[in-house]
Amino acid sequence: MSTQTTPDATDAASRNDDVLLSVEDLVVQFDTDGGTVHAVDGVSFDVREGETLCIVGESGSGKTISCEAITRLFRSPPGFIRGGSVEFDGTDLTSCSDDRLKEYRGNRIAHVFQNPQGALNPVYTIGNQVREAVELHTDLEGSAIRDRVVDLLGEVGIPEPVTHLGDYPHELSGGMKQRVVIAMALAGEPDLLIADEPTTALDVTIQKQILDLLNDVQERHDMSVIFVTHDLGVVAQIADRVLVMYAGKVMERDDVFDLFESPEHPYTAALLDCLPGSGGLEGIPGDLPDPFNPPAGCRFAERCPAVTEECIEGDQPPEYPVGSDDHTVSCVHHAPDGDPGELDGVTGAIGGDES
Amino acid sequence: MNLDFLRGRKESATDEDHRVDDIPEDAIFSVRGLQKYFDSGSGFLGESTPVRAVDGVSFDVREGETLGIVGESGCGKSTLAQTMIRLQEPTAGSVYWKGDQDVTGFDDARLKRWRREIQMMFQDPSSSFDPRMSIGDSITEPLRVQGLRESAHRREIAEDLLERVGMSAGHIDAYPHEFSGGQKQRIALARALAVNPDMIVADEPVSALDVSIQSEVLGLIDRLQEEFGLTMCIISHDLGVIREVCDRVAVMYLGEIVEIGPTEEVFTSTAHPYTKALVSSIPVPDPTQRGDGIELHGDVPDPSNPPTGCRFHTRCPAVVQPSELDLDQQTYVRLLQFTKRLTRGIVTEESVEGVRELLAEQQGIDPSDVPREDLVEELREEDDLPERTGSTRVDSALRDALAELADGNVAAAADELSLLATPCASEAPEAVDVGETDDHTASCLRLTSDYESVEAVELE
Repeated sequence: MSTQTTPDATDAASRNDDVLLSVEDLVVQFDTDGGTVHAVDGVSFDVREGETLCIVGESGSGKTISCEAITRLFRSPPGFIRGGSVEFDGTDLTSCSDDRLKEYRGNRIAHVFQNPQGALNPVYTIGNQVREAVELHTDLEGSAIRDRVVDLLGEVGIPEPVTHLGDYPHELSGGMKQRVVIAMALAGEPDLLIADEPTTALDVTIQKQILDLLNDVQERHDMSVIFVTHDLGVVAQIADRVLVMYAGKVMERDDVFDLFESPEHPYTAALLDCLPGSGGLEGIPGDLPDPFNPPAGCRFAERCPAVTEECIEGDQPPEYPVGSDDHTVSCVHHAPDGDPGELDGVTGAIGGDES
Repeated sequence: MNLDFLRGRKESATDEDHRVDDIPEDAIFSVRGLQKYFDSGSGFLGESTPVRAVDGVSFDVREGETLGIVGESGCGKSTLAQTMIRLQEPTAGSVYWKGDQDVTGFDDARLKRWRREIQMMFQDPSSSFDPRMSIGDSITEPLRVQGLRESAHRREIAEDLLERVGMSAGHIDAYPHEFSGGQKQRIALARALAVNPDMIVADEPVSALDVSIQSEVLGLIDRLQEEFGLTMCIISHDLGVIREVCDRVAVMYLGEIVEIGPTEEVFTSTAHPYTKALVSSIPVPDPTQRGDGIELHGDVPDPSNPPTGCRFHTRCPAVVQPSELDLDQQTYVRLLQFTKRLTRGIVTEESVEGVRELLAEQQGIDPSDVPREDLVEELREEDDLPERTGSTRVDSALRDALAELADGNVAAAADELSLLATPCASEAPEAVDVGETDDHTASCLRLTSDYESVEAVELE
């Protein structure tokens, strides 16, 4: 990849070997007329080379904003990164100028969004749009560009790519549009692909096609992927590691196999319990806390079945380690002096009690 | 809740003609041969082929049950929902209420009265409320329309309903924007219940909601259904939702029902290849079971020009081979799809020219100098077609077809491959009884005794 610029990459090797992206204590706030929205409130995570990290959470969890903060995609104002760092391959992106950041966007870090219709320009053919991405992110010239465009469209499974170069977005189905968007994201051969709910707007059969496609391209290009979703079924299918977010905070993080086998945070357990087919039809009573004025203590306390006095004071509990290396839980009951017994019947009982 | 004023005015079930012959005793709502075509409006020289959104659908909803209608976008399920309760006028077919009342024949007055026996709930809770009306007024608007004039009485009913859907009566004067999506959907449910209907048709009632809220609303629907003795028809693309709350499920594909039966049976002893593919596409929330399942190729075809025979045959992994052939199923499917691309104008003379130009550029020669055999090989590769299929007849037909294609004769290429024609394209399958119970049917040639069963075919 000749076009890649790798500023300050020299000291990257000396850090934690295989960590590509490291987000530390990220704080993102939006200043609105109604007050300050605490969208992301001290979130940390790593993405290792070649792995898929799933960020899972419901609306308002801050999962999308956390990802957009990496390349500062949200509008500023109103959005501001008020704290923390985003270190990508040895460079802190939060201190980069906008011009500098452009060298990363699309080249080394690419995004795929939920709504492919919105990501494509309706008045240009898909051939032109993929061509634009190729011109922008590679230094290919002349006929090589066209060859690359055809290759990319073929790679993402557009049948007879040559015939489709002149198609406009509205002539394609939702699944096909998402394939085109993925082709554009791959144009710069990124090291990190951030896919924000890329299959949520699609039917299950098409979702399966797109998930399989993402899996393929990840393997072929040896990319790291951050996959944002609210669907734990999708998480189980594609994640290596999982970050569970709620109201701007990390609730739990773990390796995917371990997480599904033994979720330790009451919120994770409740989410799993909500999956259709798990037998629970109670949902999670209550609403998200006020984003303008988040409550003290654990953000989930108000809806938590295992809530105690301790949960509603101070800060969000630290992420305490449990079991395996990768597994941490932000819950007072997992503190060294806490009593995990308080969670009996909460985290263990998937599909448990009746109305 | 005092709704006596409504009861007295409800239609007694004895007027008009008597029960229609093939409608079961316990059916409250029946659809027979329902069609809804839309004028696509873009025909050349005034000709236009209609979009066949719903094309000959029949089913019954039994008293007290929940029937689910599931399918992908574009399968016609929402049109079906709207047409069956006459929010849109059907093109053909009949709808019967309580076995003997022909809904399609209702006049305006009768239709208005029927609107309180059957209610609808929609997907988007934000756009289904008037933002300038308090929720109390919204909930009781159907009552006002139906003739309950006393506002104090209406308010009492609204308060009672709010509490029944798990909200506080104190919310009655609030406006829609003050509520979350889940709360709005509860309020929508309260509004649907206001006229004490016998049946509710819900189109994607929880699709716009977060999972934790989704299961809460589904739980509420379940509870209220028992409390009010409601019959429900739930339309959804989400098989998980359907499995959770429905007693029976109908699976739609391109305007038709391909399989219908008791939910658990449809999910566990799935008969139709399309249902099998749908069920296996649901992401399993278990990381130890990854990557299995049937991947369907392509998209749902254009409903203004649906495939002949079985409408699913263009995407079906179990599509039947002609009796003279016995190819590996995957090879056969690949070849058949190539043929479809030829006949449906996806592979064209221009696309062949495009490939020729690409080759010419690569080799640095003039497009007209590209050797024919190179072009044939490139076309074969482009479409991922095998050199050897296990049948010499097919091999030579494929060679001839690619040669014709290289010369730009798309139609002739398709003709060469006519030996691949599947019986599924010419024979429309009838619904046949499957499974253990007598109300599980599916429409697939492989379910008839003339063909090998679906199970005999390797689908993945």
